[in-house]
Amino acid sequence: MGLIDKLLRKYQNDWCRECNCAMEKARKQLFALPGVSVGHYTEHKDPAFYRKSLRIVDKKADIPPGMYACGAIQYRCPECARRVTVLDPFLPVRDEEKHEAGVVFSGGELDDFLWR
Amino acid sequence: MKTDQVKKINYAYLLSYILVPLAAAALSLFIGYTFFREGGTGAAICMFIIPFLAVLWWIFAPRNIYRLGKKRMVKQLDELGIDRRQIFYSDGCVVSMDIAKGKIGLMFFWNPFQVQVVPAARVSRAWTDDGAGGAGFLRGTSRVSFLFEIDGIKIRVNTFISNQRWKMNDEKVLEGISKADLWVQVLDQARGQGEGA
Repeated sequence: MGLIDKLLRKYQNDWCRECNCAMEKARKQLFALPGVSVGHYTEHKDPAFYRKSLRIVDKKADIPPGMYACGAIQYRCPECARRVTVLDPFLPVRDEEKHEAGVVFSGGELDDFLWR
Repeated sequence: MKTDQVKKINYAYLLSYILVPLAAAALSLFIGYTFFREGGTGAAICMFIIPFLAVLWWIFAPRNIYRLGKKRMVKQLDELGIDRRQIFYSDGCVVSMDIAKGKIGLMFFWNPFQVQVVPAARVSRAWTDDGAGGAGFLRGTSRVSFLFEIDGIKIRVNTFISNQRWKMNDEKVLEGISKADLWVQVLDQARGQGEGA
């Protein structure tokens, strides 16, 4: 792997920095954020907020207009079994999405949450 | 507090906004020209300060009167016991919605002295206007709004407005569309509640 690749990988969420290998997608889930409406989004870094607020939905169409949604992906390293949960809060607007800054939990804070 | 026909423009206010400073400026210019031809403080006041105040009035007065109207509206809604947690402040009007009671509170930029409370059942329809125009890569919008009709009177509430055209997938436009869609849903919900009451 070249130097540029290494540098780029450093900033990718699906890359295990310990083992220097690609992580595999272990779980993917769409959630609604019923308490957060358009114009009232604030970034949260606290996993407790997400545990309390996220509600599982099957598809984007289940999210009412003006309400935020959150995509969650859990990555797992095939070598060291380390897990990383990446949350991607976004506002679904008809066929488009307005994405906010993603939140990464790599300390196991939401590991069990996605497997409920 | 009114519940009859919705009045978007108070013509007495609109005309006085335009004509009173105009008359004051014209009168002061006339007085200055007639009585202070030789100059001095009187001439400065009549020929410069009063016309300048009239221009300031045209620029700043409506915005500030509207701002005070918003505060008064909130107080009045509280006094009436109307839930105002659903409230939208736009450039042209303020819409407040009490879904449980099926009541809509309205206050307009050109009618800022009157808070109008209308039963939501009187809303005949509500829809979003994304203002999309242009073709190909020029497709975009400079205004997104939600509209509703009360007794045939169309009320437009802007959720996004700009002096430029923005792409339809721009974040600001998407947020405007989302707000408009949300308010259309809220209006429909309140209308249903009002009809049921």
